[in-house]
Amino acid sequence: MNAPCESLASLRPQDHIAFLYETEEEHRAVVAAFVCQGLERDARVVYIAHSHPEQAILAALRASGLQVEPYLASGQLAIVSASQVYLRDGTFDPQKTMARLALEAGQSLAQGHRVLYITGEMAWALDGAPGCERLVEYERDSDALMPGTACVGLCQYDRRRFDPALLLQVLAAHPLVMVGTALYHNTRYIPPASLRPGAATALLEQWLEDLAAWHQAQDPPADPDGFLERQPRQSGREARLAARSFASAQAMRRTVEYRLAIEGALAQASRLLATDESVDLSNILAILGQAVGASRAYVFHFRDGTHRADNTDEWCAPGVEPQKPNLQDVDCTPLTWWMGKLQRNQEIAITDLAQLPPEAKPERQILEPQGIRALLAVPMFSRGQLIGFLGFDDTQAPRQWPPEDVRLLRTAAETLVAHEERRRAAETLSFLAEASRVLANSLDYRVTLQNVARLCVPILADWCVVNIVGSDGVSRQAAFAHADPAREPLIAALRESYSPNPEGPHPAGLVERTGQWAVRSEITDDDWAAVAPDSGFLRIMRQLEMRSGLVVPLVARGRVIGSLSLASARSHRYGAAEVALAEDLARRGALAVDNARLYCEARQAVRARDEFLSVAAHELKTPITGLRGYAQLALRRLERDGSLEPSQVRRAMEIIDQQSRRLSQLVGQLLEVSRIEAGQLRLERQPADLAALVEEAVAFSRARYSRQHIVVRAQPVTAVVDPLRLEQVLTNLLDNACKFNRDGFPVEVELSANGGEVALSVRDYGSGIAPKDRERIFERFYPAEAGHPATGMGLGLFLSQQIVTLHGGHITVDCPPGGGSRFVVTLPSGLDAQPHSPASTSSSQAQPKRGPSGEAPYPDC
Amino acid sequence: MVKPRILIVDDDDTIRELVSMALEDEGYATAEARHGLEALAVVRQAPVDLILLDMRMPLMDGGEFAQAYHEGPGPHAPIIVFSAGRDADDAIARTGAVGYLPKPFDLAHLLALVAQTVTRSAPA
Repeated sequence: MNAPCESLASLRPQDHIAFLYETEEEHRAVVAAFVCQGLERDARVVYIAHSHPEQAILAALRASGLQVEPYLASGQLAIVSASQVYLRDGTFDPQKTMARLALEAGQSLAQGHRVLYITGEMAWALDGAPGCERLVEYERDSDALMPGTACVGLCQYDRRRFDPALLLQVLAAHPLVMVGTALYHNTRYIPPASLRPGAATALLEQWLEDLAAWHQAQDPPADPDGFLERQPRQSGREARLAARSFASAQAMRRTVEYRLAIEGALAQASRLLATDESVDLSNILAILGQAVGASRAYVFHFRDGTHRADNTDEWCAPGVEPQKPNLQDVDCTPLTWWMGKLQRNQEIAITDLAQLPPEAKPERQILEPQGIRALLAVPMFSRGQLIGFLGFDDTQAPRQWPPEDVRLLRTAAETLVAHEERRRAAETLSFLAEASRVLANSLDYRVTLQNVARLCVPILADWCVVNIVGSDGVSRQAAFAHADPAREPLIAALRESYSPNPEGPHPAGLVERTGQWAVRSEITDDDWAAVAPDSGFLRIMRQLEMRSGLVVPLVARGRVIGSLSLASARSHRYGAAEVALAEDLARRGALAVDNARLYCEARQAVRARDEFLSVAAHELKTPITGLRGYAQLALRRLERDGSLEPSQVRRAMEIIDQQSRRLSQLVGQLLEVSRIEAGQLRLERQPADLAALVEEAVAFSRARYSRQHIVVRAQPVTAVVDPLRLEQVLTNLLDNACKFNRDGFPVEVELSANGGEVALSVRDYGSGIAPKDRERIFERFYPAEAGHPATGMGLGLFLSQQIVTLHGGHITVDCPPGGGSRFVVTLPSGLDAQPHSPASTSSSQAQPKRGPSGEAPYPDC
Repeated sequence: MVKPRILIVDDDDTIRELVSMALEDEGYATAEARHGLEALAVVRQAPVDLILLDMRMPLMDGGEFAQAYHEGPGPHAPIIVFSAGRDADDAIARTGAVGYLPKPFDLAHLLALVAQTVTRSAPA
């Protein structure tokens, strides 16, 4: 840079300079040097133009060798008009302007710049806009602002245009003045503190004192820091003024240097927090602690919604004993003095621990063992909620905490909270994006359930369980995960040994009924002991370590399909943010689970349709074979013999008649199955004499199976049933029994009533049904599966079971002693009890049984 | 000349009667069984020259019968499967059948297949 501007190199953040110039050369040289320096120091530079056109300013910058374009493009250099910054609707208001500048300074920091360099052409104030008489007031305000912002200000005053009287006032508002290209400490400057009411007396006294001291001194005082070197001697008068202010300048300099150190620390800490998402907070604490010379610097966070605090990060000066390990889960409830101050957003400044107020006895008991002599702490608030505090300890000796220290800690606390909020928001976003990606990866039902569980650990829980409500309405553990996979068998053991109890302590049932989340913030060992059904349960829960829990519903398409239970080994883990995140994850998870289930059901439906077609084809082929065969046989004989004997014609016609009847019966059954699938099968109930009904069905079977001996033992029983449907059931059971019975053994039919129940059994002495088949034998098309020996029972048993279920009864099969099978139909007689509601008789309610009740509710994909 | 003896194994009475009559019209001797167990009893009493076998039957199905039959003492008659099932390859593999006839079948096809099989397997 140009030689006359060398002194600009000593500029530091918070400097506020009045620049007085008389020539355009001076203006160009200083402004270009100021702008270049700011850009070189990685500051954001804002030029507020008024009398110089933007092009002229840029030309001056280029002429000084600066490549302005990249800076303009990146926004690091901006040229704005004075009316934009200083005037609002043509009116000047110092407060609004200050707010604007403070905002600019904050944004510069947020954009990663160390500092904001701002220079303004002040000639706008001469245009006579309303309020411009408040110019000096503004300069005062901005001088007071400078120490609070990482900002260097250069106010440009054209001496050719400003009234000297006004310039004198302007000078009094600037600690630094630049005349032409030379920079001075401004002896005309009156610090804002001295302008307070009553301060004039003190200022006067100080001046007189300084004057006396100067007169007494033969020589000006020594200047070890080279302070005066910064001030070129201009005249005898200025030299005298400089010497007068030297004594107070020494003290001020110490303050200023301290402020600079603190400001530097704050800028460094802010920059680290702004640029490094995963910055180690103990590094930040080190910067802060070192700046004020503390022994320890630390952050405490309250567990959500409680007064329990954890020391989350700590920095210790060399030789100072760390306290973090001792300060976990500290109950601050008894610390009423401490907590009261924090909640009122007051700092806690203890200059000497020995002089704590008497009501702070609980505080002393905590602080003393840590070797603390003095302490400063400030609260951290996030969205109006006290979330923790930031503090310094001094373990050496009692000490004062000047306003700079308080301000440092306050600003650091705000920056830290902002950083945490930002980091949390970013983490939430990327977690949910990752969750969506993972969930979109699979349509497999089990994999999706497992993915939901996996996603929860460790970000939301130490371990978690996904419950799904089965078609029987029972909620069952469908997936689980533990952050420590070695402990997953414990969760599995919970499922094996302890069935879910809707009345039990676990809120999953409640959450699934209400669709509302539920949280337990603190669960003690005693709580577990109180609810544990046995010692095994307690042992498992102790090993799993659960101190708090959150259950959120899994809701898809407006229906609760299950719940997500999150467990943490830490109490008070689940606050509003966790609940919101868990609900968001649950929404995505439920959607994915629901999609996987729909996909699975769609595939099952396709498979069922294929099975249906296969069974239908198979069942229809047998009678068609008979029909065609007899027709062809008759034709062959006719061709061979030229005529048919009447007995042959008769037999062929009989068979054709019988087989076509069988065909139409089959077609009817198939239609009924599809009606049941569509939920359209309805009963027409009426009181019926069941004994007569049984006799009728048996008579029909005797006629059909003349070789079978059918024995009936029937009590007189009346029940409210659909007699045609019930006869269909009985005929089907009799058909099967006659078909599978062993020769020479009877088929036994029994009808009895017991209380409000009717029991109807059909027993044969065939080879029986293997236990593995007994559950599935009632499934639609089950026997259609290849290689199954129980042929011919295809649709009959499925239809029978559906009809019985519609009656509110059930049908079972067992193998009694003596061999064979016994089918037992149990029905409510329907006479005494209140009539069944129409809803309960609709076949859409009559779902086939889905496996043993302990099984996890997976669709069979 | 001794009439070739053919065993018809099917749980459907109509089909047994039909096939039996058609074969007798062609000059074969026939025997009937309602399922695998009955069929085993028939072949133990007297050997047959050909077995027409349904697959899906109660008590003992076609596959189980074929396995038991082949495990027993020979000579073993050839087997022709007639089935309403879909998987011919599986049925042939399980029974070692020389022929397969899907239901519903034409009598002419059945008789042609029977004639062919009986001639080929007849002792020289």
